[in-house]
Amino acid sequence: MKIVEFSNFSFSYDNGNYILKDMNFYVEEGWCVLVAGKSGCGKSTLLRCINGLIPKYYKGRYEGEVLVDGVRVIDYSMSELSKKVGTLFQNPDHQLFMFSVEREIAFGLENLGLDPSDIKDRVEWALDFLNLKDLAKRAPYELSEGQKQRVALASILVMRPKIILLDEPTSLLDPKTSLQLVNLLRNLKEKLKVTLIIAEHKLELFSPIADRLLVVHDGSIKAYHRVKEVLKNPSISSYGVSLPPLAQLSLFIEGFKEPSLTIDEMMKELRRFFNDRVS
Amino acid sequence: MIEFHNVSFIYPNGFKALDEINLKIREGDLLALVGENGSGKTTLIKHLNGLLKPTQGKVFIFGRDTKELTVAEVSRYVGIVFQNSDSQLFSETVEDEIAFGLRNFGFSEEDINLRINFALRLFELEIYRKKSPFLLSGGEKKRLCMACILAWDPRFIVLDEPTVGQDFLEKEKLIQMIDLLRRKGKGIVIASHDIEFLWKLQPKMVVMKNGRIIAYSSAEEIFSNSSILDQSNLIPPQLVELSKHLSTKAFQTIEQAKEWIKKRVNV
Amino acid sequence: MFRLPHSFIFSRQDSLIHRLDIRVKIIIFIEFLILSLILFNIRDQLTLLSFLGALIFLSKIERRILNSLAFITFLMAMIFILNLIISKEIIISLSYSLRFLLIILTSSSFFQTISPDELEYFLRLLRVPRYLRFAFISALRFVPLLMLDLIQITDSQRARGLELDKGNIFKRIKNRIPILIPLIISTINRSSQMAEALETRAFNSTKKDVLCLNLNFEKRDLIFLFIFFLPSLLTVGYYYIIYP
Repeated sequence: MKIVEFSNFSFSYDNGNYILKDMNFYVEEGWCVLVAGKSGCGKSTLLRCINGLIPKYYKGRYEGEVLVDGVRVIDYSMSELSKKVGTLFQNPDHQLFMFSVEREIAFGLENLGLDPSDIKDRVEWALDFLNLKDLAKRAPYELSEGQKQRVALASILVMRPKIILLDEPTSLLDPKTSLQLVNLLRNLKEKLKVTLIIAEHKLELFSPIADRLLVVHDGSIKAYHRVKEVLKNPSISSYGVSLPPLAQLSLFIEGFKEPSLTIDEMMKELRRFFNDRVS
Repeated sequence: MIEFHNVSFIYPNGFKALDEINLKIREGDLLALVGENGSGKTTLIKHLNGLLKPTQGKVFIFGRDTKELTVAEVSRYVGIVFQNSDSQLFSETVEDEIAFGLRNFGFSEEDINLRINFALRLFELEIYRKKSPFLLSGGEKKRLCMACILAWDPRFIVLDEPTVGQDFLEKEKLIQMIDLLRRKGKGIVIASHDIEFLWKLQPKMVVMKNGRIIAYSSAEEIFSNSSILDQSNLIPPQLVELSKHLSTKAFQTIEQAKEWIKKRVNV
Repeated sequence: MFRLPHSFIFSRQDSLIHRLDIRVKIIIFIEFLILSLILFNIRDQLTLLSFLGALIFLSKIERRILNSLAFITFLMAMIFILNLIISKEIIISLSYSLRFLLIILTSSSFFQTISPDELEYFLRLLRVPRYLRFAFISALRFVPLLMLDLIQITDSQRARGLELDKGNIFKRIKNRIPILIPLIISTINRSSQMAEALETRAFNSTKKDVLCLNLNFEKRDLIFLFIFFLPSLLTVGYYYIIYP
């Protein structure tokens, strides 16, 4: 099922230049889509069109349609949309408002006016799922960056969204914490079947869990395909997308059907490559 | 030369951020500062230009104790570009922004003009000269912040998380810039989490944990030492990981990996 | 030396009092406040003070209180002297300054042991609407972030050779401009990003006022409620039963 669909969509803030131009693409439910491109290529604007900040919060020239779960974004109210689409912003400090982790997680549900006992159950579940039980009483702002991000994710998951948008989620994290985040997202995808749309520069980290790679340049789509398919074409680096070293290396080796994204894939391909040559 | 002699630093709330740091940084060095958040990198950086003075021990800049110098006096020799440096912009035009530091250091107007030209050209910002700094893109702002510091030609340059929010092309430009500065004999210190970026630079690495330096060595040695990587929340770059699987010396570049594979096939 | 404001900010401690049920804390606070206002007899006031002392000690906040004591003593002395001049009665003047001390200590220990989340519960009891409560809470949340921004910007500009304390008074004011402008801009950015985050979390989308706090009244709470109700019982017993 198509969970997000852009058709003939263009947008400009305050009637200036088009930030997004004539976009046509869709995302199947359960996919993980990476959005890559130069900084300022329109990635953040694209995410805002899905979570409804455009056109509810930012006005401008809005042409064509964006559908979320079969319904036009403009036909949703912000609260209905918040139950479908969750957003993890770049800096978690800007989305943590409360003084304890459990209150933070309950906040969105309180906003929806749910029943307190229902809220409690859901908060328990989220604390459990993201392994935050020990931190429940702590203040979000005194946690480490990685923990803050988990709290922010919990506060989103608790709304039971079908889609989660992530805007450069690893920019403040150290390498191992980034890797843990990737594993966590893999978990979300497999266990909860959540659709993930991630704007990110570090392809080497995220491509192993991604189903599709969307390359945006000057507001237009330059490529949208399976990650390996897109990475076959080295010219995409001119759009500000960095080819992961392994993918770059596999492009050089003849007989590689596809670029390798992980060490295991690379080793398998290399072994086959060497065996072919030796025998 | 910058020297740390047994430097410890304790914040007013009692948190010990630096613990007995001994370190020498020479001109021409390229040093990467790594370690998890809160390991003391930022505190160490702030000691480099005297923003913080050690609670115990001493920091010497060209033989002079930073306790006896003002921040401005040290900054003339040690320029720091902070992570959120784009939040420091305030001038009407790009050239005014660069002139700000130069005026603080008392350069003559004529000299200021020459230096602005030099910095704009170096960072490919000439066309924005009369533009407002707020209208620049993220990458351009970052370059402007570096231009602001490099305009007064400090002998040491410190970059705090320079790649955050930067795309591939901007990172490539940054690498070229750092290479250029290295060739000019500047001392460069980079604090970063971006391992693939660091691997391309091949710096000497200082690994910090809980305010201490737990390792000081070449990038190759650090990234192939799994116990250090574990302690400091690092993971090896893809090329190092690959060479480990192939049980060979770490590939520094993709070219080297290609060469290695070619040789294996020809033999 | 003057650390008075500091003793009215929540201090995160793991103490018996901090862990009490919010409702018990509110009852004790209101009780102590009323007693501080009505008691006007040095013996009664000192009794209440000893209970208050125990409360402060159990909350592990004595350090902050001691830090602000210099200033409080100074104000007490002022009150004492003024009253002495007007009434010329030492005992009455002493009671006035003791009353002041009791009020300050009661409110200070209240604010130090009640977390912002619990404060929100309290505000809700007072029928403050949700959006106003949120404005209050987020202001508390915003101030430390603003301070961090300020430090960061000041550091950046000093690294560019800005000397804040150089020159005459006009020069010094002018020196603040490179800090003030970026601070305003970053604050605007921050608040707009927070507003975005609020929008995506359905803020203000319903009229219903839900507040989900884990309230659990335990035996411990009952014991504390009893102990700290003793001053009232003593007062009532003394004035209405023994010496009516």
